[in-house]
Amino acid sequence: MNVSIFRFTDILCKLTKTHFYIARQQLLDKAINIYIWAFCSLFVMGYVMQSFGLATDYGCFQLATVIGTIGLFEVYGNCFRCIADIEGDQHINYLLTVPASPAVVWWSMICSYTLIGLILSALMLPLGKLLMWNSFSLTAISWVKFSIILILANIFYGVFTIAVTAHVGAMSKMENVWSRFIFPLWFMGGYLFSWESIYSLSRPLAYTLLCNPILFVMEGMRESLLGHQDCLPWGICCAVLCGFIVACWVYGKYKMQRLLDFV
Amino acid sequence: MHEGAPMNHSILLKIKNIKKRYGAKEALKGVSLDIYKGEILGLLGVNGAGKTTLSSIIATLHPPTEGDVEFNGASIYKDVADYRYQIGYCPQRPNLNPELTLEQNLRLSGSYYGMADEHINNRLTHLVTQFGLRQYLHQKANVLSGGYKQRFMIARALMHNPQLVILDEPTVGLDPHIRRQLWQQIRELKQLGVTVILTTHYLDEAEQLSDRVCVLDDGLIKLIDTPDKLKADFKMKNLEDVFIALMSENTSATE
Repeated sequence: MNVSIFRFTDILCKLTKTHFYIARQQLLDKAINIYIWAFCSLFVMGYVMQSFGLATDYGCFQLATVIGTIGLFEVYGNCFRCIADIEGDQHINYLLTVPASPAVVWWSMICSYTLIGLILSALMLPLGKLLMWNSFSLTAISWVKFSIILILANIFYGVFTIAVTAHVGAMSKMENVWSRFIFPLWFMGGYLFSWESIYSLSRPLAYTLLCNPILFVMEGMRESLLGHQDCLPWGICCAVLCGFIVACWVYGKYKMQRLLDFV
Repeated sequence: MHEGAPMNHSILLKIKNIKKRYGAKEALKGVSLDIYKGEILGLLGVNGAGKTTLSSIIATLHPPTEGDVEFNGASIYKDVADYRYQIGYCPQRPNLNPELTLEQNLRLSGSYYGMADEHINNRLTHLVTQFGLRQYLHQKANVLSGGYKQRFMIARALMHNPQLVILDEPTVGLDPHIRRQLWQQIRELKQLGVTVILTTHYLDEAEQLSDRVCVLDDGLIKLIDTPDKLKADFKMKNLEDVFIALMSENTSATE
């Protein structure tokens, strides 16, 4: 048993390194894309929209949500590459015959997605500081809480990628990924509003939104990054995210088994 | 002992009543077969006979719906990872990582099997020389022709010195001279004591290389024996004629 764990950990590290090595080749492009998106978003929300009556600190509010959703926007591309491989090169079939459990293969992909998500999210901090300058204080950040919620969020996005890939299963259904998963989760996940503002508007809607894992990423991110007190408690956000990670993993593994029929 | 079993050879792999269903379709309907240490077993059959399904089950890519496979007397499903250290699988369709160079593909393969760097270097040098691949080492898989991809696939399957190699139609679409070179390399594996399961459509290939051939038809073993014995029994000059006679029997029976 111990020998197996040692071997599996070794293979997990090697597979993760390989996936990361491949993903790293596109890191610069990804960083440029995210900087463009974040710059536009923060500039409009932080400066332009104030002319239409938006609160002066809305730019910072957006910064926290942008950092929280970078990993979510990686889901589509990662899902696309997975399905392209399943339907094309089928390298995954080779990986599923290496001397390890299939879970090792899936977790190596999840670890690689998490690492890329973390790097891209971390790159947002300097841009956020440059754009928001005085309204964004680095001293208000609770670094431990921020690191934990960021890691959990990106693990969730990694596991979510596997679950969505397995659920969609075919290139012909790829457009569903954006319209049925990413967009509604993102837009209804507190990207533009806090849970408390929805709670004061409509309690049933607020409780329904608690089914959305992204909401917990946003709320936890705001508390740790901006020190907001009117967010859902950070500890609850982390615990619920852990629950969503487990649920997505169980579902993703089950659907992958059905899709690829591996041992 | 099965028909045509090599004398004094012990059983390496025992396939016990393997069935495989894909929805309503039954691809394998109860295949039982012993494979002996050091032999080359040719798996023959028409399209859809179940050859690739059987080899993918032996390679642990897919699980059987029913039945068991024993390796050296123990079920492979008790410790799949341990069994995988002993086998090398070359599927019909090349599945090298297109994002990596061929050298990286081979090195990583060795590392997944726990080989030390020095061992990987030695093995890489040996296989690259054996298969004439040196000039392509630093290229990515998608620039290679089918023949070279196939050689890399076989080299990858052999990286960790497996006891059992499963080659699923390794010469499909290759030029005749490259096919002959691959035949020689498969013979060399046998000389090294490696057991080979060779799935093929080419009956000349099966006749040239196999110690025994197993003909699958509609998910069942139609017959299994040495090529010479089959030719003698059917009073035919070559395996192709035997195969055609067998398939004609089938057609007549159906009619």
